[in-house]
Parts: sequence; structure tokens; C-alpha cells
Amino acid sequence: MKQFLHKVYVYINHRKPLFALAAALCITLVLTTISMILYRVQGVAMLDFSRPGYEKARGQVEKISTKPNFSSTGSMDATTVDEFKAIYDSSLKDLKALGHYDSDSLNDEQLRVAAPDIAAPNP
Amino acid sequence: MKRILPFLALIFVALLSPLVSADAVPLSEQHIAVIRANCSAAQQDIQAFRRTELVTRSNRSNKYEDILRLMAAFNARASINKINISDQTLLVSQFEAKLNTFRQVDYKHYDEMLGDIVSINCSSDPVKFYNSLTALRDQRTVINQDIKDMDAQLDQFGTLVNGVRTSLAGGNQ
Repeated sequence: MKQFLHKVYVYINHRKPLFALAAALCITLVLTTISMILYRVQGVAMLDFSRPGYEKARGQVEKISTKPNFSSTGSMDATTVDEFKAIYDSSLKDLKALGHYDSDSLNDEQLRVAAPDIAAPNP
Repeated sequence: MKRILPFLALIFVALLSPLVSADAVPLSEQHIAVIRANCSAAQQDIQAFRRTELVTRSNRSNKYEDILRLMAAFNARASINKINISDQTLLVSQFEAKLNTFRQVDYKHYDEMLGDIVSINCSSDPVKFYNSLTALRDQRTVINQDIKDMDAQLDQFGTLVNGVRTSLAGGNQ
């Protein structure tokens, strides 16, 4: 057994660069696999706009808020609350202008998969 | 073992649930023919639609984060000034919980369904495509309800802020 191990050691020792490369490749493969699993499981893949086909969509994502901040410190009186309310209401207005995932989209007629009697009613 | 059994049962039900479609409506032959003829184009539309939906989801999510920061700042400042904000604090935590459900559960499921529906070989299985489409619409209704709930919570926060303002203007605090 000792002799066998010594032979293995000598074999590896004579091919150090090759084994180092193989080990590096194995480690890379394992780490990449773990990264890809995390990427998919944690839902990052879903939000990744750098995927092919999402070039146009990427430009439509609003990244930086242009709204003024409301300080979490300082005194609070009716005027301060009014200032907060103005920022808050403006943010709500922007939010409500976005899509609501309502039932208008994805209907049969839009996708041209409606039952024939509904798609083309008899006159 | 007895403790594990309910969890095993839950996992079993969760694994089987996508295979069971309680509200699958039988389709006529003519309808199936229409679906078969147009489903490939419909899948392309759904694929494009998925991208715009994701943009809306991202923009909504960013706006919710901004508003959440505003609410937290207001609560912190009110708290420093010894104003009772227990209702606002509770509302913010409820809103956060709902936002997490929307992002981590409901929308994620919806997006997965969108991905699944475009990968179905609809020419050979138009009924499966149509049933998936029906399930997708149901999930969209769930998301719509999440948004309505969150909008209601945000409106309620606004009302509570108005209450604080009234108290401060009247010098009751």
C-alpha cells in the first residue's frame, strides 16, 4: 500500500502542471454549478435583464428614484407632515400609473385562441 | 415519524397539485383546431408580454422600496418626537409581508407559468396549452389582488398620516 501511494505521489509529482490544471478546472466547475443553482433558486435569473432578448426591456426599467428624501430625524410639526404628505402622495401617484396586472390582457381574443363562435359571431 | 408525516403529506400534495386541474373545461373540436392553428403566434406574443410584465414588476418593486423608505423615515421621525405611531408601524410590517409575498411567491410563480406556457409543444398538445393559459390568468388575478391589497395599505398609511397632522395642528400631541 505504501509503495502504491509512493508511486501515485511520484506520478503526480512528475505531472504537476497537468494535475494543477485539472484541479483548477474541477474547482471552477463546482463553484460555477453552485452559483448557477443559487442564481436560479433565489429568483435572480427571473430579474436578470442582461439575458438575451431583454435588451429593449432593460432600457424601460427605472433605476434611480428622483423623489426628494424625507429625513428620519428632526422636529415634527404640521408643516413637516405636509412636506412628507406631498412626497408620499407624489410617489403613490407614480406607483398607481404603473400596470396593475388586470384581467384585460391575455384574453382569448387577443391571443387569437377564442372558441370559433366567440371569435366570429354569426351576424 | 408522526411529526414528519404531515410535512410529507404536504410535499406530496404540492408535487401533485400541478398535475390536477379541477376547472379544466372540455374544449370542442373546432376550438382545439383554432388553438392548434394560432398557438405558436400566441406563444410569441406571450414571450414578448413576459418581458413587459417583468419591466412592470421591476418598476413597481423599485417604487414600493422608495415608498417603504419614506414610511420608515416618517415613523422614525415621529417616534423621536414622541408621537404615537403604533398603527403606522403595524401597517408597515403588514405591507412588507405583502410585498414579500408578491415578489417572492406570487409573481415568481406567475413568471414560471409564463415560462412554462411558451415551452409547451402546443401544436401537439393544444388542450394543455389552453389549460395552462387559464391557470395563468388565475395567477394573474392573484397578483392583481396583491397589488390592490398593497394599494389599500398605502392609502391607509396616508390616512393615518393625515390623523397625525390633525393632531399636531390641534396641539394634541
